[in-house]
Amino acid sequence: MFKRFLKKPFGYKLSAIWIVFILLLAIFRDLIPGPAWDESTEDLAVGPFSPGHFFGTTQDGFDVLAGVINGARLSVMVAVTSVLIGGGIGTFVGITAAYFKGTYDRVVNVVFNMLLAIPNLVLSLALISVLAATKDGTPASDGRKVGVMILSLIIVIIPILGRIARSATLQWSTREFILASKSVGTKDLTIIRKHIVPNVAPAILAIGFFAVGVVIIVEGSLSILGIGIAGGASWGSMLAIGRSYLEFSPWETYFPVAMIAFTVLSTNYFGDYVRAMLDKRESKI
Amino acid sequence: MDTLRVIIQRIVTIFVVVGVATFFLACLIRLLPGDPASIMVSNALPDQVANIRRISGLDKNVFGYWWQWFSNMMTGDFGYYYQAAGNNPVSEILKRSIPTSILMVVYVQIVALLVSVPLGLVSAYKEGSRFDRGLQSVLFVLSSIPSFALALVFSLFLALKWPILPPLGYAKPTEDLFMHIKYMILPVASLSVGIIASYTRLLRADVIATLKEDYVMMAMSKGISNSRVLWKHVLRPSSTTLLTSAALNMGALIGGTIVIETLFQIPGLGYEIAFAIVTRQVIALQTLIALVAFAYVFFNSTVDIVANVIDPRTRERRV
Repeated sequence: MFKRFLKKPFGYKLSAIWIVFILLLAIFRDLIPGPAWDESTEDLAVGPFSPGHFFGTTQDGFDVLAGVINGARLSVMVAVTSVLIGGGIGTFVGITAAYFKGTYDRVVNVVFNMLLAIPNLVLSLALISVLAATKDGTPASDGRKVGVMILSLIIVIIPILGRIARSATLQWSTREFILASKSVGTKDLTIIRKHIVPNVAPAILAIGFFAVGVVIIVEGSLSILGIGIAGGASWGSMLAIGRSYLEFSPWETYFPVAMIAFTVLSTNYFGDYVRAMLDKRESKI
Repeated sequence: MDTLRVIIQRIVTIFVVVGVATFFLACLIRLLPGDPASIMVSNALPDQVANIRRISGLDKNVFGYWWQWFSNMMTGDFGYYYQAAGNNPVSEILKRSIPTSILMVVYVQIVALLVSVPLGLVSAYKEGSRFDRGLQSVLFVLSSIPSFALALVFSLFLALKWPILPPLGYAKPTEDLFMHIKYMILPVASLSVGIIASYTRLLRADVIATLKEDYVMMAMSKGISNSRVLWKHVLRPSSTTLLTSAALNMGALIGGTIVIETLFQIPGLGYEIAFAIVTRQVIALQTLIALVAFAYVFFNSTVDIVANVIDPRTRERRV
């Protein structure tokens, strides 16, 4: 397996290493030594590479490195859960709609088109602003905000992956081997499981990688707009705070920005890579 | 006849999609915990709340509320920002913000096309060369960087460290054209970089395909110079995908400008959406989102119709 990895292109290695690195940060956050992310120190706005604070500290004395490590957990959690759940639902609905056709398919198609008619940031903004509202107009708690954010991102992801699953299934379900399978009386669910899913999976996987990038960017954008996660608990939230001090302590902003950019770059690379492999396979058929 | 049917079909689709989307939004607003009328205006007096409920149709059921809002939209009544001091019509805000957003989106498109067309042509012509491969990698990286990251980096270096450009703000072109351009450079640059990357990749793929056509070989063998062949014979047939996606981008860009407009404090549509959310103006928000969705669906449909009229081949493909 390691030998196979070495043969991959340079970008593949770099992206894989980065994603594994981020996942490790997210999982082993608590085992990493250093100052806590949510406890301010006496060193205010210390520059990067100073003793004790490798990435410097914020204007309020929070350690940027600790913040970035902590942010990895929240960003990864939000991205992975929303893409897995949203992608799962979208794929299921998309495949079944395209396979069974009829009224169900038409309804699904209208709903997908409707959701896709609203730009994804606007859609998640609208959903969050409605879902996170409390009776008396006070801001929601952070835990609830994260939940609402994941829920609205799931709704954003469903049509994106659902449409891909639907169109891929439409393409495959007219192939001869599916027809042959049907004519010998194989059950619909078995055909979907054995023949459709394995064939549409790569296309969905490719878009799934892009979707992770979309989610991370939307999370950052929401924080900038002031309705995302507050208090520096995620990358987006860190840069939302840091951008007010861009002139005085730019490191506060550019470390989280770099984390977001590298992570999106890596997931996009994988998306691109899977798609290229897919094109190659398709052209051979 | 066929074209007419497609056009009618498309127009119906626009209204159905926007209608259904806004109806869902209306349902969401009605599902809000608490009364939307009292959420919009904090510390409102009871008769004020009652007044708001009456004007906005919140006292009716979901269907009645949505229908009142939707039919008002059709007749040009875009609802109000409800404030304790008095109600402010959304149309006032739209008069200011829509031109601003459209200007910005148009600038982004112009800049993106001006840069990506030559880049795409050259890199397709030199397919596989070091220049091409290098450019592809650079463009891939650029297309992955979120525009707000670029905006922050640009404003750090070009506005704060070396103050060449203003860090934020806006001036109307009719009032001060020079300042208008100065204010627009950073936001337009941060938005267009990613788009340049995707346009160049699209055009490159199409140009590579066109270059393999026989008539290109023919033109080359007649002794027409390479640049003339590229610009006169190759660009036009290869630009369909590019122009289609450029047109599709118009709607998406209006949504995508939200963050950039907020970062640079440009009073456009996106900025107003963010503002409506922060101030919990749910009814104004519903109107603004409906407009963005409408713009998006409208551009999509127009592209389809235009493609249908220009290139009859797409008609069969769409069946």
